[in-house]
Amino acid sequence: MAVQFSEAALKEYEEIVTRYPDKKATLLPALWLAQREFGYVSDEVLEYIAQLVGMPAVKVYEVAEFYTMFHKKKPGKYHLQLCQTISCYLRGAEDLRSYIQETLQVLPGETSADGLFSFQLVECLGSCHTAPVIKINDEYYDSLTVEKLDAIIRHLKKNSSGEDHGV
Amino acid sequence: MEFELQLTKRFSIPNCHTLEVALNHGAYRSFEKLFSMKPEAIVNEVIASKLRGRGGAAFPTGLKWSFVPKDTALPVYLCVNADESEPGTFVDRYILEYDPHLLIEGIVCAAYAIKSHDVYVYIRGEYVRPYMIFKKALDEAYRSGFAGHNIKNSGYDVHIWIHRGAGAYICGEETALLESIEGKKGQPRIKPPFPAVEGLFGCPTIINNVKTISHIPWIIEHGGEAFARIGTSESTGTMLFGISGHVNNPGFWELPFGMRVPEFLEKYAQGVKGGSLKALFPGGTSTAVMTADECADLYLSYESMRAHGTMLGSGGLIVMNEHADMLHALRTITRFYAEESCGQCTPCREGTFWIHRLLEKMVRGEGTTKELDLLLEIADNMEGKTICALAAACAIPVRSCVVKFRQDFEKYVKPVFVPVAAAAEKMLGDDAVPF
Amino acid sequence: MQKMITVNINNQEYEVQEDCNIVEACDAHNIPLQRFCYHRYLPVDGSCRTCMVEIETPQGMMVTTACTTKVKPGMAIYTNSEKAVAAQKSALEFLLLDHPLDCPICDKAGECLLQDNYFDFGRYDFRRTVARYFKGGKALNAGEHIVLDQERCILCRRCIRFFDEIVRTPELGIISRGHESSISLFPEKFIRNPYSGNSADICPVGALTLKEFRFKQRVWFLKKTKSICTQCARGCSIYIEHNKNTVWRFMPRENPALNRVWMCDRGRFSFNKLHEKRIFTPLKHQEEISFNQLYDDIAELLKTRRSGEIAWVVGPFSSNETYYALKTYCGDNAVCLMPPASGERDDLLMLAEEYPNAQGATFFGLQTETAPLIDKIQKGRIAALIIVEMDLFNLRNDSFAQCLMENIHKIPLKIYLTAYRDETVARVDYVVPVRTYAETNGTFINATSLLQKACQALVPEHPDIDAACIALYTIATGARKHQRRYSDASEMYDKLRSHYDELRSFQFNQIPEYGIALNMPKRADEPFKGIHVDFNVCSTAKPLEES
Repeated sequence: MAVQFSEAALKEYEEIVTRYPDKKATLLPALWLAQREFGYVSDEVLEYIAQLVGMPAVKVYEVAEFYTMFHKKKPGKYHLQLCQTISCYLRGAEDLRSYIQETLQVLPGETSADGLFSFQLVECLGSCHTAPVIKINDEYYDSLTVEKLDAIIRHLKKNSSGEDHGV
Repeated sequence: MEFELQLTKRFSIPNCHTLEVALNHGAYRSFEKLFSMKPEAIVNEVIASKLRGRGGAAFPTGLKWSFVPKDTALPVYLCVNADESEPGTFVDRYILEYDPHLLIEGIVCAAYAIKSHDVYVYIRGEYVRPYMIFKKALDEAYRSGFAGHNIKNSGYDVHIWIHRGAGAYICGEETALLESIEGKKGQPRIKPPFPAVEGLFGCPTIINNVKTISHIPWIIEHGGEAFARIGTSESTGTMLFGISGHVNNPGFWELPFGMRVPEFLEKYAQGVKGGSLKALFPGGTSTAVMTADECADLYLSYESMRAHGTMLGSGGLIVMNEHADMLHALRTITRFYAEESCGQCTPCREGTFWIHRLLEKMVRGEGTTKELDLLLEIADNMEGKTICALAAACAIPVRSCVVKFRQDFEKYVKPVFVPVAAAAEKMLGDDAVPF
Repeated sequence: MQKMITVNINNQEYEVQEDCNIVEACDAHNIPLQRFCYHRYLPVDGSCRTCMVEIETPQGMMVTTACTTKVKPGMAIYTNSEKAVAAQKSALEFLLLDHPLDCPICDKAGECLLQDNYFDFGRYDFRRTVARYFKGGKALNAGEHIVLDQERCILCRRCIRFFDEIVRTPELGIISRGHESSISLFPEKFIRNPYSGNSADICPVGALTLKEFRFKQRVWFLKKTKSICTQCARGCSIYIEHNKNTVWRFMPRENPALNRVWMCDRGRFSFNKLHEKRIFTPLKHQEEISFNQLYDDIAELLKTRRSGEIAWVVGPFSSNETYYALKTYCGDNAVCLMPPASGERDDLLMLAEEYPNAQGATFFGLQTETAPLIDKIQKGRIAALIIVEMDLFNLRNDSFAQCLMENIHKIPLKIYLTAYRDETVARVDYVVPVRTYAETNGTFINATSLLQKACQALVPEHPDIDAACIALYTIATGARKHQRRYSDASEMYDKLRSHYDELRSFQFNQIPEYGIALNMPKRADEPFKGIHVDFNVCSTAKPLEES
C-alpha cells in the first residue's frame, strides 16, 4: 500500500485504540489523524484507514462522506468556511459570500487557481452572537464586515507570498 | 434580582482555564462532599433540584439518570454532548474555553452518581480552540488527580476521553452521537431501547449536555432544594441564555429562569437593532417563531414557552427586526435542515429538501399560493413520522413562519400555477458542497 | 411452539405470535400493509417510514412504523385509520418525489414495489413543482452480474443489510447524507460476493438489476414453476421462470428452513445450461434414428443378455424416480457413482457437492461400491452398460471412469440416457435423449434430508422424449409405448411413495412447498451457520413473492 502513517502518527493511533473498547470506534479519530497527516482523505487513504481500523472500505467511505469536515480533495492553503445560517445571514453573511466569490473567483466547493483559497459554505458554526463568522482553517474570525474580511484576506495573501506563519 | 452564578462564575477571571487559577477560585470544591455521599443520594439530589436537560429537550436529568439499570454487570457510560450545533446556540463553547475545569468537575460528579467510569466528551469538530483548551485542562486534571485513577484518593476512577465530531448537526441527537462515537455515520437509532438501557457499545449510557453537567457541582455543594428554589416552579436554576441576530448587544448571560423576554431584550441585548421587533426564535431555529405581540408576555421559562406553543430549546434566542423578510429567513433556516438531515428516514430526507426547494422557488418569484399551502402540508407529513426530531425541527419553524407571517410570503407568490418549464432543470447550484 | 397472543387490528381480533412485530402480525393474516425497508429475512431497519400504523398507547393514539413496533397482548392497531393512511400516502409521495419515473426503460417494471405500493396505497396527484433532483448515475457497472442505477434507489438499505448481515461482505453503502444520499460502491470497486443476485431480487425498485435478465422479458409474461436448484446438494427452493418454453431466470423461492429466500449466483445463473448442448434425437453410432427404432433396437439387443451381464450406472444427478426405476426394474447391477465434492462451499448455502441428489441414491439403497463392477468389466463379463444422466467420460480422477475408458472395448453395448450432448455421447452405441429436470416432474432429497419436488416447467422438444425414469423403465422392461404403466414421472413417484412411511400420505401434487423432512442422516450442516437474523414467518402468511 502506497500511503501509510508516519511512525509518530502510528504511535498516536495506538494510543487512540486504548480509549475505546471497540476498535471501530477509532474511525473518526483515525480519519482526523489521516487528514492531518495527508491533508485530505483520498480513496487511497480511506482504504488504508479501513485496513488500520479493521472495517470494510465502503463503511469508511460512508463515514468520510457523511461528515462535512473531511476533505475528499485537497483544500486550499486557506480553507474558508463561511457560515450562512440564520444569525450570520441576518447580519450580512451574503455580502461576505459575494465578496469571496468575486475577489477570489471561487465558488463554493472550489479552490482558487493559485491553490491558496478553497471556499466552503457551512452551516451554523456556533458563534451566532459574533455573526457573521468565517472559519479559516481552524480559527474563527468573527463580527465580520466586508472590509474586515478584505483585510484578513489581504493579510493571508501577503503572508503566503513570504514565509508561512499560518493563521 | 439576587442570584449566584453557577456556570459563569469564573468566566471573568483571567486564565481560569488553567488548573491553578481555577483551583484558587473554588474549582473541584464539590469533590469532598461528593465522595462522602452515596451515588444514589446524588441522583436524589439532582431529582430534587428538578434540573432539566439544557440541550434542548429539557428532560429531567435526575429521572434520566435513574433509568440506568441498577446493578448492571455492563459498564455504564457517560457521554457529554458538546456537539452544540443548533442555529442560535453558542454558549457551551465558552464553558469549554473559559472554565473547562467546571465541566470536568461536573463530569466526575455525574459519572460517580451513575456509577460510570468511562466518559466520552463529544466536541463538535468545528470547535478546534475549545477542544485544545479543554484537552489541556483535562491533562492537567489527570496529572493532579482530579480525573483518572483513584480521584483524590476516593478510590473512584473516572476516565475521560474526548471524541471529536467532524461536521454533522445530527450528532447532537443523543443516539446519533453514540453512533458517531462508535465509528459510524451519525444516524439516530430507533428507540426503544433507550440509551440508558442500551447505549454506547450496547451498554447503559447517559448523555448530558455540557451545561447540564456543569450545574451538578453546584447542586452537590448546595443541595438540590437550593437549586430548585432558583427560577420558577417548573424551570429551576439558572440558564445560559444567548441572543443573536438583530440586537444591539448580542451575547450570552447566565440568568435564573423567569425573566420576561422583552426585559431580557432591553436590559441585556440592549434592544432590537435596526427597527422594532418582528419575530423571535426563543431557543434555536427548531422552535416555533414568536411574533412581537406574543413576545410581550413571554417569559424565559419552559412553562411559559410551552403555554405560547413554543419551546425554550437550548436557550439561544434569535431576533429579527421589522425589516427582516421571513421568506428569505425561512429559506435560510430550511437550507440548514436540508443540509443537516442525515438521510435515514424518508420524510426528513425528502421533506426538508422539498420544502427548501419550494422556498427557493418563491424567492425567485416563481412560487404560487398553492405551494404556500403545500409547505404546511409537507410540514405535517414530516413531523412525528421519523426516527428522530430533526424532521420536526424543520417542520415547526416552517409551519409557524408561514402561518404567522403569511403576508411576507404572499408578497412573493402568485395565485396561479406557474409551470416549471425550463427552470425546472435548474439545479440548486448554490448549495454547500461538502469538501 | 410459539406462544400466541391476541391483538386487535382494524377492530378485529387476531391471534399472532407473541414476539412478532406489527408487519409480521399483518402478514400472518393477510392484512395489506405496504413496506420497503422491511424484509422478512433481514434485520429490521425502520427507515423508509412507509408501514405507518396508528396504535393505542398509554399516552394516547400514536402513528408509528409497524416494523419497529412489537405486538403486545390486547394491542389496538389501525392500518386504515385516517392518520395511518395519511402517513402511508405521504411517505410514498416523498419516495416518489425525485424518483426518475423512467418505468418504460426500467427492468423492474411489473415487479416494482414502488409501482405496486403506489397503486395500492398512494396518492395519484403528483405535486412536485420544483426541479427534480438527480440522485446519481444510471446503468453503472456494479459487478459481474449487477447493474446499479443510483437515481432509482429509494435508500431502503435492503441490499446493504443483505451484504452486511447475511453474506457478511459489506460492499455497498449509502454515501453523503440528506437528499444527497446515494447508494454506492467504494470507488473503483465491484460487488464480488457469490450471492450478489439476491440484491436485485430484494431491491424494491430498479436500482439493482441483473445483467443476465435485463431487458430480456417483461416479467408479467413469465410463468413461474416451483422447482429446486440442482447445482449443489443444498437443493435450494426456486422458481423456474419461463416463457414460450424458454427459461429466462431462476428466482429463489421462499423456504424458511432451507434457503429462506436466497440463492447463490452459481445456482442462479445456471439456468442457461437447460438450453445448451441439448440432444433431441436418438443416436445409433452417432447417426440419427427414430425413437421407434431406438427402443426396438435396444429391446432386441438386451433380450439376449442375461441380467447379470447388464450393468446400470447412474450419478447423483438424477431424480428419486430414476433411482426407484433403477432399483425396481433394473436388477442388482445398478451402481451410483459419487463424483468428488470439489465445488466452492461456505456456511451459507453453497455445498462442495455439485450435484443435487446423493441423498436420494442413499435413500433408495443404490450400491455405491464400484469394485465388483470394475472387476466384472475387466474380466469382460459385462455385455451391456447403461449410463444414466451422468457424463461418465468426463469424470476425472474416478477409478470407475478410468477403468471404463481402459476397458471400453470389452463392453459390446453401451447405451446412454442423456439430455445433453456431452463427452460421453461420442463414446456410446446408443444415445437415448431424455428430458431435463425442468421438463419433467420429479423429487430430490437434499443434503439436509429434505425431499422436495421439482415440477415440470417446459415441454420437451419432441413428444417422444421421456423422463429418464420412464426411459429406464421402458428399456428395462422392454415395454412398448402403449404398454407403459407410466405416462408421467409423477406417477412413478405416486407408485414409490406407498413403500415409504414418510411419503405415503403425500401424493405428488400434495408434497408441501417447503418439502418433507426425512428421517435419515444428513450429509451437511444446516444452512446459514452462525448467521443470526430474527425472522418470524407465520405459517398463514403468504409467500413473499405473492404478497
